[in-house]
Amino acid sequence: MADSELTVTAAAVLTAEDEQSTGLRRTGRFTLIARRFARRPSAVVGLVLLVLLVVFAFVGPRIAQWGYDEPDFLALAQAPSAEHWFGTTTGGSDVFALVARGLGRSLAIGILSSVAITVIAAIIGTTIAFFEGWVERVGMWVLDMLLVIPSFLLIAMIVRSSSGANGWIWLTFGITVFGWIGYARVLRTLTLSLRELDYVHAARYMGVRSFTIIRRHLIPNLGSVLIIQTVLGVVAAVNSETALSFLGLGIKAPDTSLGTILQAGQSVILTAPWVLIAPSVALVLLTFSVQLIGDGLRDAIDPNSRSGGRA
Amino acid sequence: MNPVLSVRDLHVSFASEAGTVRAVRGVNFDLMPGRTLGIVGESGSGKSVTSLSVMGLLDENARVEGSIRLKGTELLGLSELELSKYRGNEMAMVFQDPLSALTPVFSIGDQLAEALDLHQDLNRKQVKERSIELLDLVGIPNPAERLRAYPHQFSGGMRQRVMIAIAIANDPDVIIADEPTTALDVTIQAQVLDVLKKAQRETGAAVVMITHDLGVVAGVADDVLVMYAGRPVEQAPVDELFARPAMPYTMGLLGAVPRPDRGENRRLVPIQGNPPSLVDLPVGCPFADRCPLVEDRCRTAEPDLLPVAGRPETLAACVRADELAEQGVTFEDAYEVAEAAESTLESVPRSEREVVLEVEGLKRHFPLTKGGFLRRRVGTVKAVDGVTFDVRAGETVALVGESGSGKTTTLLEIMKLEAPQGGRVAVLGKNLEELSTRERAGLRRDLQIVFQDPMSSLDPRMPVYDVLAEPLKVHGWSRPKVNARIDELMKLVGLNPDHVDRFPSQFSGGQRQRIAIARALAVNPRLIVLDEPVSALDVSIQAGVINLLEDLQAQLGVAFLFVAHDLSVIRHISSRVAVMYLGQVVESGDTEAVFTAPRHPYTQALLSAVPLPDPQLERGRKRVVLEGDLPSPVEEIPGCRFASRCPVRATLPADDQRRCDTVLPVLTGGDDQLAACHFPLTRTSAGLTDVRETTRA
Ligand SMILES: Nc1ncnc2c1ncn2[C@@H]1O[C@H](COP(=O)(O)OP(=O)(O)O)[C@@H](O)[C@H]1O
Ligand code: SF4
Ligand code: SF4
Ligand SMILES: [Mg+2]
Repeated sequence: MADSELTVTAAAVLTAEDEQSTGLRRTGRFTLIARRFARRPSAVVGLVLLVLLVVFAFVGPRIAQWGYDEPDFLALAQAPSAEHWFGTTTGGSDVFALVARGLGRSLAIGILSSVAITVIAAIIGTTIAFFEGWVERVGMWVLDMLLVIPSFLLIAMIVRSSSGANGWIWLTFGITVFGWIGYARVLRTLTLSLRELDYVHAARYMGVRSFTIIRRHLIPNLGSVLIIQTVLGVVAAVNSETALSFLGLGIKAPDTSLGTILQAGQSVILTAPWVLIAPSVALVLLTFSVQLIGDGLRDAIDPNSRSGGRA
Repeated sequence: MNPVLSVRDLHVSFASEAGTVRAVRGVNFDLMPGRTLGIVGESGSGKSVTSLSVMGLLDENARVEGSIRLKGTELLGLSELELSKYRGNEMAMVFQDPLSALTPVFSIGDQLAEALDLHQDLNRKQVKERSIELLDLVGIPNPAERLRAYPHQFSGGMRQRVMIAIAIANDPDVIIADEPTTALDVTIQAQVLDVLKKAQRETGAAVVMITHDLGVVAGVADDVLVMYAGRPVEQAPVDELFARPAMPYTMGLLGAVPRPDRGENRRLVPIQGNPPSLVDLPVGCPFADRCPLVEDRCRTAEPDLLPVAGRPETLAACVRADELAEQGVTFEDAYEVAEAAESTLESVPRSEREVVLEVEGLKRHFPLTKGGFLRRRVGTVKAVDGVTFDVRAGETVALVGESGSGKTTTLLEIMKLEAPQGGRVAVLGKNLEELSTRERAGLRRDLQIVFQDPMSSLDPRMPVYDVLAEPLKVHGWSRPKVNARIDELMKLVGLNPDHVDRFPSQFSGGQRQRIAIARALAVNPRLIVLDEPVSALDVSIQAGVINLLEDLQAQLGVAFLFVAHDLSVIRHISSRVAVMYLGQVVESGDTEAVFTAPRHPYTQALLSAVPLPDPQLERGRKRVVLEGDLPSPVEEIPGCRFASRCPVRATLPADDQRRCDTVLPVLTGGDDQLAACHFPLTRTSAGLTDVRETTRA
C-alpha cells in the first residue's frame, strides 16, 4: 500500500538534500521541516488531536469514577449519565474507563509494533541491498516466500496460546513478525540508489566494515522515510489490532482494547448504541490524526509533493 | 539596423523557502541580425533565467519585470497562446540536455513535422522533404531512414543535432542556445558548434550563446556579456574582452582558466571566496568581497553598467573601470600570483622513482544479457580492453578520453584491489592477484580516491569531523591523535579548523571538494586516484583546487592518478598522460611531448577540438573535426579501434587501410611517448595543423 508513496518521497529527499546544499541562505533542516509542517493546518490539527488522545489514554483511567475491570452491577446497559460519562455495557462496565484503557492498549500495540517493524525492516532491507550478489538473491527469495505466509492466521494462533494478561505483548509480537516484510522490500529498493552514492563507495574503498557502512551511512540517510513509515505504520498496526480483537482473535478479557470494546458493542448496537459509539469515535480520531500527521510530515520533508500525494 | 531582440532592464525573482531569490537584476542587451552574443558567467549567475524569460518558459513562481522586444513587439505580458506564435517560429531554443527536450515516445520525424506544422502550411510530402533537408543540413547520415528513429536511439551529439534541426525548422530570427555542448565530449562539441554555425549561416538568425566555457565563447561569439550575481558586469566585442578585460571580475575569470595551448607552468590564479547569496545581496558591488581592487566606495552603491572612458565599445559595471582602463591595469597587476610550493622530489629523475602503480594489459568485460527469466548472453561490452600505464612516486599521471572510453571502469578495477579479469595490476609492487586479505586491508591505506561530485561524495548527515575521522578510525588511530590530525588536515586543504562541526551542506562545492581531498589524505596514502575532481566546479573555484593539489603533491610527495576530460586542466596539472579510446590506451607519455607532437591521429583530433580561450587563435585555427560518434563498445573490431573515424586512414592506399582494419596496433615508440598506430604522425606533421595536408608518415 505505502510502497509507491514511499518511493516518491525518498527520491525527493535525495534531491531535497542537493537543493539545500546549493541553497542560498541556509536554514537548518529541522527548522525548515517544522516550519513547513506548521504551515499545514490539517497537520497541526492532527497533531493536536493525537496529543489529546494520548492525554486521554493516560489521564482517563485516573479521573474515571470506575475502573475498567470493576463492573457496576447496579447499572447495566445504561445510557451516559453523570455517574457513567459514556454509559455502561450490558455487563455494567464503565464505557469511559474501558475506552481510555482500550485506547491506551491499542496505542501501545500500534506504536511498539510500528517502531519494531521499522527497525527490523530497515536492518534487513538495507543489508540485502548492500551486499548485492548472492546475499541479495537469497534475501529477496526469502522475502518473497515470507510474503505468501497466511499471517493473519498465524498471529491468531500465537495470541490464542498466550494467557490473557500478556496477550497484548504476543499480539504486538505477531503484528511485528509478519508486518516488516513488505517494508523491508520497499527499503531495499530505496537502498539500491543509496548504495551507488559516492560516499558509500568512498567508505568501502577506505576499508570501512560493511555493517558499519550500513549503520553509519545507509540507515541514517533513509531517516525521513523511516520517520514517515513509522508514523503511518501506527495506523496500520492499530487497524490490524482492532480487526483481530474484533474477531475475537486478539486481546481478550479481562484485558481490553478498542477492538474488543467494538466487538462487545456491535451485539447491542440497537439497545445500547453508546457502547459502540465511544470506541468508534476514538478509533476514527486516532487513525485520522495519525494519517494527517503522516501526510503533513511527508509534504514537509519532501518539498516537491505539493500535490498532497494520492493517499 | 534595428535589433531583432532587445532586452531592457530585465528583473526576475523567485519566491523560495529562504526568501526572494533575485536571480536576474537588470539585464540589458541588443541583438543585431546575424550576430552572435555570448553570455558567460559562473553557475547561478542568471544566464539560464535570462534565456528562459526571453522564451517565456519560466516557472510560475517567477516574477518578471522590464521589457523584452522581439522585432519591436513586446513579449512580456503576452499570454501563453500569443507567445506560442513566436516560440519555435521567430525564436527557437537549444537546451543543454537534448534528451529531456525531445519527447521520447515520438519519432524524430514526428517531432520535426510537429514543429513545421505549427507554423507553416505544408502538405505531407513537403513536410517530409523539408524534414530530410533539415536533418541533412545538421549532418545526420541517412536522413530519410533516421526520420523513423526515436530519440533514445541517438547519441547525445546526434540528439543535439536534431534539436538544432527543430530549432531552425521555421527559419527563426533568434536562436537561443543554453549550454548546448556542455554535456558533450570535445570532439562532438566541435561538430555541434560547426553545425550551429552552419545553421546560423543558412537562416541568417541571430544567436544568443550561453555558456560557462570561455573557449566556446571565444570561438563563436561576436560580442560577449559577462554576468555575475544576476547582473551583467561587462559587455564588449569578443576580441576586446579577451584582450583587454575592463573590470576585475572578468580579469579574474580569464586568469583562472588553464590554457590548453601553453606548456609553461604558470600558476593559476583563483578568485578568492564564493559568489554572494542571491537572497540577501550585500549593498554595493556584489563582487566586492572577492575583488582584489576593492575600495570603500565600492560598498556604497551597486555600480551601473556604463561606458568605459577610452574604450568606446566596452561597458563595465565597476566604479574603478575608467581609472583601471586609463592606467592599463591587467590581470597580473590586479591579482596576486602566488608562488607554488617547492617540490621535495623534483631532483629525483623519473626513472629512479618508485613505481606506485603498474597497470598492464588490464581487461574488464561485461556480459551483455537480454531477456527476463532465462538471461541469455547476447554480447560482450569491452569496457576496458588492454590498458597499460604506470605511475611513479610523486607524479601526476592523467587518464584522458571521451565518455565511454573506460576511464571510470579502469579506476574502479584498481580501487577494488582484486585480481583483474585479464592483465596485471600491481600497487606498490604488490600484484593484486597474489594479495592476502591482510595485505589488501593494508593497501587500502596507501590508495585513496576523490570523486567527481562533491555533493554526493560526502554523507550529508555527518559533520566534517566525522567525515575526516572515518578513515582514521578504520586504521585504528587513537582519539587524541585523530583530533590533532583533523586539525592539521583542515589547515592543509585551506579550511578553517573551527568549522569541523558543520555539515557538508554548509560548504560550497569547492570547499566540499577540499574536504574530500582532506579525507583522502588523512591516512598518508602514497597514491590518490581522482575521478574528474574539478569538472563539477566553476573556473574561478577550480583554479584554487588545482593549485591545492599541486601544492599537496609538492609537499607530501603523493602520486596522483588524475582522470579528466578537460585537456587544458590535464596539460596544466599532469606530467604524464595516457589517452584512452574505446577501452584502450592509444597514446601515452610525457605530457609536453604528447601535447606538442601527438603521434596518434586520435590524440591529434582530440587536441585540435579543444576550444582555446583566445578569439584570435580560435579564428586562425584549423581543426581536425572527426566524423561520427564513438562506435558501440559491443562491436567486434579486429583491427584498430579508431579505424572508423580515423582521418589518416582515409588518406592511405587500400593495402595500408586493410592493415588498419585487420591488425590491432600495439603501443610502440620511445621511452617518452608511445602510440598504438601503424602510421603514426611524425614530429613535423603533427602539431595543431591541418591533418589533410600532412598525413603520410
Ligand atoms: N556494469 C556495466 N555493465 C555494462 N556496461 C558497462 C558497465 N559499466 C560500464 N559499462 C560500459 O563501459 C564503457 C566505459 O564506461 P566508463 O568506464 O564509465 O567510461 P568513462 O569513465 O570514460 O566515461 C561504457 O560503454 C559503459 O556503458
Ligand atoms: S566596483 Fe569595486 S569591488 Fe566592484 S569590481 Fe569594481 S573595484 Fe571591484
Ligand atoms: S592504425 Fe590506422 S586507423 Fe588506427 S589510428 Fe593508425 S592510421 Fe588510423
Ligand atoms: Mg566516467
